[in-house]
Amino acid sequence: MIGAGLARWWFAPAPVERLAALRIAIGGFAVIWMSARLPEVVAVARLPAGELAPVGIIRVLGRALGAPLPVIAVAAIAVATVGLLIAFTAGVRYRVTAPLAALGLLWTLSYRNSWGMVFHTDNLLVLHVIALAAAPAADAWTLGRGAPPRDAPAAGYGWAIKLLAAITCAAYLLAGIAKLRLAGLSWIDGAQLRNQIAVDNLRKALLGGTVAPLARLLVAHPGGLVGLSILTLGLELGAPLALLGRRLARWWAWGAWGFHVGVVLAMNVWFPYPLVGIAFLPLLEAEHLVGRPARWWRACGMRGAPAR
Amino acid sequence: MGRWGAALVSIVLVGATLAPVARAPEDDGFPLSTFPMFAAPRPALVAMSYAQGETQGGGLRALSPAHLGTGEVMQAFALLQRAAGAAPRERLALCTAIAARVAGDADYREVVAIRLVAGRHDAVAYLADGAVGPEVTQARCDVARSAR
Repeated sequence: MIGAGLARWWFAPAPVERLAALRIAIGGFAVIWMSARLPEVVAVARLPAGELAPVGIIRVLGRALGAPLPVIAVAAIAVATVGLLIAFTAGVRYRVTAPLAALGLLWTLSYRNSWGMVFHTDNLLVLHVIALAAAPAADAWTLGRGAPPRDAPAAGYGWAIKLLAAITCAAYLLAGIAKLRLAGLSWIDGAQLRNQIAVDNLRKALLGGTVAPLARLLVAHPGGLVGLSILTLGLELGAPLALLGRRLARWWAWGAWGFHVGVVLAMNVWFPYPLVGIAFLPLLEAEHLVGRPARWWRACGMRGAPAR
Repeated sequence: MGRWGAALVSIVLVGATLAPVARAPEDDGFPLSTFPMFAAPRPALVAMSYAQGETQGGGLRALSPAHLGTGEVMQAFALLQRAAGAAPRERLALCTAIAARVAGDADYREVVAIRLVAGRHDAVAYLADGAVGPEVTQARCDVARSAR
């Protein structure tokens, strides 16, 4: 009974355009992000071999492939990945280009994170692209000559959107769990957050970065940090609630976005994927938000959704 | 794709995303992460290493992460902390590499030497009051510029 209810919820129908909109938004972000990261990807590839500390797929495959790779190979893979991501976003030869784009993104960003510092800005993006690559996300709003499918897949499109949303929520839930495991409830005493802000900004000051605009104010007057700590932990641990309904999803998405804005103001730590809102798009009616540029794109030769 | 296939993909991906919860929180990975950032308790007293540029007049200038070969502050941080624990020869090698980058940076033409410094600061006092803690120079090297 529970299984049937769960299946009904997970496979609830959703319009094909919504999944296509997510492909375009997430893929488009990945193209821009990867293009912007190319100089950094190449720069870290020039670091001494001793600095390589493989993570993820690099830990599994890197040794067999002779990591650290020559800089030219790293650059070539990264550039090819950008090309594949463009095809992914446009939905061109999706069954081939989407898995290759996901693999290229996974490899390149894992390689970038394998030099002594694991960043947390790219995790959701990579997981979303992998999920989209396994989904029928190119049944509408694509460029190319292939005929649109006459019928929706048996599983529909709703499950893939739910999957993307669940991955977003899982990531925030894990961040909340990590705080409880590492610091317990003392994380919300305000002093923890004050020290996090102070230490992070001290590093920036000493290492040539920019101190966050509200850092000095918050450290000098930590009165409100208890409230902010409780809000943060509540938002992270409450992330799964966003899967339970459209209104909850919208509230949570705004809250999580506000949290990231707060992180910028307090710590000058930027998470571009959630900051531009795309990380939360699977929780919303993405087709309306992406629809306007997509309509323009369609006017440029993109084919429409399959009739049904 | 049929329902069984979709269910399998969903279970594998959601399961993989949540799987890090079974690992120690400090055992981070990519892209399957425990998301431990800003989670561990942090004392305000911080010991860390950093690089500084020394000017002709004895003044100090903070260097940018680019002088360490990266665009990321945290990557620069990781590089410097690793160098701090390494042998003096490796510290000097890092110092020389930084000096070479600074030599090619016109905005830093007044910098004549690079220092790798180990400092101990109270982060709250540093930010709120500008109080600088004790510092020890771990390596020093000159910035060599070719004569024109």
